[in-house]
Amino acid sequence: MSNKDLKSTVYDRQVRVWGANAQSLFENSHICLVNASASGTEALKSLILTGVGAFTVVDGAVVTEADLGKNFFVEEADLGKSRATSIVEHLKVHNLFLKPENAIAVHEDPIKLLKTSPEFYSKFSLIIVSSCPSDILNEFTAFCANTDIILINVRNYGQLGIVQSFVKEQCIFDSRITPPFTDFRISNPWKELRDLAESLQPEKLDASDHGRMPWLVLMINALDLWEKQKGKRTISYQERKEFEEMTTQWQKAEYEKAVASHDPSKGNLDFQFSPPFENLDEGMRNIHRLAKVELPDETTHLFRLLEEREARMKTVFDPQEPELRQRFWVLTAALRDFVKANNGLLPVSPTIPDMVSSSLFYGKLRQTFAAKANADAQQMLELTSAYIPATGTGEPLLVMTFEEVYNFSTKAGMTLCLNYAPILTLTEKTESEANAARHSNLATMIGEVPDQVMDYFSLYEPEHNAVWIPLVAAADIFRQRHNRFPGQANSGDVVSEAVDNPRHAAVVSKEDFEKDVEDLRTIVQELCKQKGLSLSIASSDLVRETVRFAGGELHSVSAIVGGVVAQEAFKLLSHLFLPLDNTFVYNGLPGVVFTGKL
Amino acid sequence: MFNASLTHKRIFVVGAGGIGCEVLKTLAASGFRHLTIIDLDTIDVSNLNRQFLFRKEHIGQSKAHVSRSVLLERYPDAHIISYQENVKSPRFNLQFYQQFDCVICGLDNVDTRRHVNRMCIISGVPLIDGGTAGLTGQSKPVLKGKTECFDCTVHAAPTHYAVCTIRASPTQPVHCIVWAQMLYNLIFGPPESNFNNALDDGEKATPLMVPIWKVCQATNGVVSEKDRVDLWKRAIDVFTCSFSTELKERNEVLDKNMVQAKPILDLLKGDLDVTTLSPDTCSSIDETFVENLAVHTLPQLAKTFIRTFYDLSIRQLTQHPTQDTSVLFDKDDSLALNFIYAASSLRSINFNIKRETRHSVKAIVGNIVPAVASTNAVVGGLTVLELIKFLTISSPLQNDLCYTVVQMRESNHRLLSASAPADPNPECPTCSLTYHICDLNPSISLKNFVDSYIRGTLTIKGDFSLSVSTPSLRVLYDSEMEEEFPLDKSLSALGVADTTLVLLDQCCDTDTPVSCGIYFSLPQPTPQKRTTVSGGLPKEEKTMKTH
Repeated sequence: MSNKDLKSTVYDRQVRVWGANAQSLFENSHICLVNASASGTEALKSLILTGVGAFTVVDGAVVTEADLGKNFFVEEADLGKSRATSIVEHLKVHNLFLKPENAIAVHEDPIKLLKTSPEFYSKFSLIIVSSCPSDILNEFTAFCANTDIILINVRNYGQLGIVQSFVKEQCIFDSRITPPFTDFRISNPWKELRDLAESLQPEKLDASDHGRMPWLVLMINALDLWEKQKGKRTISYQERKEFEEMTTQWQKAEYEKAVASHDPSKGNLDFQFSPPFENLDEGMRNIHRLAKVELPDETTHLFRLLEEREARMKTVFDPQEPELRQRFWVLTAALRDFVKANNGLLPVSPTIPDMVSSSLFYGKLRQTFAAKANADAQQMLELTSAYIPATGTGEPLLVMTFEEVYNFSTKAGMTLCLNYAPILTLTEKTESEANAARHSNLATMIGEVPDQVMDYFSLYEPEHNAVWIPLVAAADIFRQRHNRFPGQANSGDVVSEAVDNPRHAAVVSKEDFEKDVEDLRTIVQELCKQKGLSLSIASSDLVRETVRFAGGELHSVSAIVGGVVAQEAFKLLSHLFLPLDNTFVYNGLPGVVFTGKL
Repeated sequence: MFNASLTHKRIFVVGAGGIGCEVLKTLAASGFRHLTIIDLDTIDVSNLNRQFLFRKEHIGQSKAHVSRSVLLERYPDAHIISYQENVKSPRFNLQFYQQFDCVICGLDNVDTRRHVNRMCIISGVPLIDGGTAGLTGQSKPVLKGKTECFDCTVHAAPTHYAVCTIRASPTQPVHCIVWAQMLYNLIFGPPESNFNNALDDGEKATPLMVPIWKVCQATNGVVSEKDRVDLWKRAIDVFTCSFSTELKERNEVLDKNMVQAKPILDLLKGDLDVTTLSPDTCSSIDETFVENLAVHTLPQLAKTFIRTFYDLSIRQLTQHPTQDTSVLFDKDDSLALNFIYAASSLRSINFNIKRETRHSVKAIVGNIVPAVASTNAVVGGLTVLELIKFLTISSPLQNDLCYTVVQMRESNHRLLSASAPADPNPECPTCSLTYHICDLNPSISLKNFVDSYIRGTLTIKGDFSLSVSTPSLRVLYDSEMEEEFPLDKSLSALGVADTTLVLLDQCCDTDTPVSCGIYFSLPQPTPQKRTTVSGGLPKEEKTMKTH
C-alpha cells in the first residue's frame, strides 16, 4: 500500500464526516500547546490522531509523580525529564504521516518566551492554553487580539471543565446546522419549476398519475388555486384546514373525472391509487414550507459585515489577507449581488427530499432543481469576477472554479461569519467599556445564589454554571497572593511552570482548609463588588466547593474537556460546522453545562 | 482527587474500539486497576485515526489483547484480563457478569448491545452504554428498575427498498448500489444471500445471472485455460446483458411513468468496443485516494466491471470452489468493492442518476459509521465520570442527576447536555420482566419441567406458553395445546442449555397475567483455572514488570 493509500484508509472514517477539503485545511495547520497539563495533552492527542500536520508543545516543567497520576501520555521513565519532550515523544507516534521536524518540544517557560520573543508564537494557526492561571491566559489573549491566530483556553479545575475560544474573524463556509436551511421555492417557483408544475396540474393528469405526483408539485399547484380563490399566497395557521379541504376536493374531483374518461385499453387502474393520496398527506406535513422563505438572520448579518468591511477597506479583496478569507469575502460579495438581482432569494440547492412519486415525475423534479442550482452557481461565478482585481499582465489575482462557487452557492443559507470578543477572565489588568457590559451580562446570568447550593443547580438553568468563572478567577487571585491554589498544601516547591500540580492538594489540615475558605471568600467578595456581580456568590457554599477542588485536574474531566477542545479546534481550523462562541463551562458532578457568549 | 476505593472495583469493558480505547485509558488513569476487556475484532488500518492504544505494527492483532498489553506497560500494577471472543458466547454467563461492579459498553452494533443490556438486566449489574456517530455521541446508564434500558425504546431498523424500485425504476444512487450488491451476491455470494434476492427471478432468470460455480469448476484449485477464455467471454456477456440488452427489452414494455433507460453500449459507441478487450489489455481502476473521489469515464467503468467480474470469478473458483464456501460481500475486499462501484455507476448512467464516488459507495454498502477521535474522547470521559459518580458517594453535590444521560450535538448550540435518565418503560420486552434463575439440569423432561418447576416452584396457575429466543424465537410449550408438544423429550433435546433464556407468557384472560424470563444457569463445577476452556485462552494477569 502506498503512503497515499494508507493515508486515505487511516482517515477514511473521519473524512466521511467532514470531507477531503476540511481534512486538508486541518492537516496544513500548526497547533501550539502551552503547558502540557492532562486536559491539554488529551486535546492534543485527539488533534494528532486526526492528522494535524505540525505541533509544538511549550512547557518549562519537568515530569513529576503528579503527572504520572493524571496524564496517560507520560511514564515512569520520564520522571524528572522535560515534560514538553516527553509528551511530544509519546504523542507523535499517533500521526503516521507526521514529518519528524513537525513534532516540536520547547522546554521553556511559555510566558518568558512570549515576552522575550513573541514572534515565536506568530507562526501558529492555533494556540491552546491549557490549565494555566488567568494571568498567563490574559497575556496570550492580548497577543492574539491583533493576529489571525486562534486561541483556545482549556481549564480543568477539579470537577470543572472550562473552554473559551477566541478568533478575530471566523468565516464558516458551511455551518452544517440541523435541520439545514432549505427553500424549495413553493411560494415563488422559478420559471422552469412553474412550467413543470403547470404541465402537471390535476386537470391534465391521467387517473393513474394523481397518486404519483410529488407533493412539492401538488402544493405549487394548490397554492396557485388558493391564490385564485383568496387573492393571496399566504395560509394562516387557522386556514390550514380550509386549504387542505380545498386541495382534497380538487384532487378528488379531477381524479374522478379522469377515471370516467379513462381508456381501458391503456391498462387497468390500480385499485391502490384512489384518493385520499399519500402525496397530500406529505404536502400537509410540509405545509410550513409553503410560506415564503426569508433570508436567514445569519445571511443578513453576513451582508452587514460585508458592508462594514467595504466601508473600512474600500474594497472586498485584500491581497494581504489569507487566501481562504479572500475567497470567502469575494464569494459573499457575489452572493449579495445575486440576492439583490433575484428579489432577495438565495441560490437554489439541488437537494430535494425523498417523497412518494413515480420515478418519472421525481426524476423531472430533481432535474429541474439540479439545472437551476447549476445556473445559479454559474451566475454567482460571473458575479465574482467584479471583485477580483487583475495583475499587471491582466491575470486575475484569484482563480475561482465553478466547483468552488457551486459548493458555496448551494450552501448559501448556511454560510456565516463570527467575530469573537476577547476571552473574559475577570482578572484583566485594564478594563474597557465593552467589558463593563459583559460583566453586567454575566451578573444577569448568575443571578442570586441561594444558601442551599443544590437548589441553585437543581433549577437547572445552564446560565447558572457561569458562576464558576468568577470563582476560578478568585482562585487565581488567591494563587498570586499565596503562591498556591486554595486547598493546596502549603508546600514550598510550587513552581510557576507546574501550576496544575495536584500533589499539593494531597494533605491539607482542617484548619488550613477553613482558613483558605475564608481567604477565598474575601477575594470573591472583592471581585464581585468590583465587577458588579451578586455578593451572594461570596457567601455561598460554592466558595468551599472551589477550595475542595484545590486546583487539581481530574483525568475523566480532562478527557471530556480535552475532547471538546479538539472538536472546537477542528471546527475553527476547517471553517466548517458551527463553533463554540465563546464559553463552555462543564460541572462534572451534577452534569450541568453552560454554553454561551460571555 | 484520586480515589483509592476505585482500585478494587472490577469493570468489564465490552468493545476495545474507538470508545473502548478511551474508556480503558480513562479508567486506568482514574485509578481503576481491575479491568476485563472483550473484543472479537482485530486491528485495522482505518482504526488508527482514533484508537490510540494501537499502532501500525499492531495491524491484524487482537484489539483486546493489544489494548491489555499497552495498558500494562503504562500501569504494571493493573490486573487486566482480555478475551478475543464474541461476548454472546455462552461462557460469558450470569456468574461471569456477577463478578463485576459495572459493565461499560462501547459497541457499534445494536444486536450485541441488546445482548449485553439483557445480561446486565438479568444479573442486576449496572451498565453504562456509550455510542458515537460523527461529531455526536451519547453516554447512557442502565440501572435495573431505576432507569430506561437499551430495549425500552425502539431502535431504527435498517432501511429496505421496494423490489420493483431496485429492479426496474431506480431514482437514487442507493438503489443502484443495492442492485449492484444483489448482482454480486447472486453470482459470487453464498446461497442464503440469494434468498429474497430481487434479481433472482427463478425460471425467468437469464442463464447468465447464475452463481459462477455453476458455470465451471476448478480442478485442484486450477482453472483451465479454456475455462479462462469462457469466463472472459462471460464477463463481457454479463456486461452487455445487464447494462444494455436487458434494459432495451425493459424499455419496450415500459409503463409511461417509467424513465427510459439508456443502454451503455449505445453510449459507448465509438469510444470502446468491449468485444475486443482481453485480460491483457483491460485493467481495473486502482484503489487510491484520488481514484476514491474521482469521477470515472464510461470506458473506465466498463473495463473495471469486466475485469473485476473476471478476477472475482477466477478467485471464487480457486478459493471457494462450491457455493457453500463462498463468502458474502465484504466492504474491505477491494476487488469486490471495485465490482460494486463499477456496476452501480454503470446503472446510475443507465438511469441518469447522480453517481457516487467509490468512497461513498463503500460507506453505503459497508454501513460504515463515521468516527472521530475527539467525539470518542468526550463520550469515553463522560462514561467513566458517570461510573465514578455511581461508585462513590463521597461528594456533597451528589444527587439523582448524577446518573445522567449525556448527549452531544453539533447543532443545537448547547454542545453538551445532561439530563436525568428516563424511567423504565413498563412495556419493555426486556427490563419489565421478572427473571428467575433456574439451576435445573436441562436433561429433565419438558413435562417434569412444567409440572415441578413452573407450576411447582414458580407457582404459575392457569394457561401459559413457553418460548426460547435463541437462536430465533420459537415456542417450546403451550398449555392450551399440550398434546402437540413432545412432553417426554428432555429440555436439552429441545435446545435448552446452560445460559438459555426461556420466556413465559400468560394469556391476558388470567386475572394477574405473568410474563417472566427463566434463565438457565447450571451450578458451576468447582472453580478451576481457566485452562479447561477451549478456544482462545484469556490472557491472564502479567507478572510485575521486570527491570
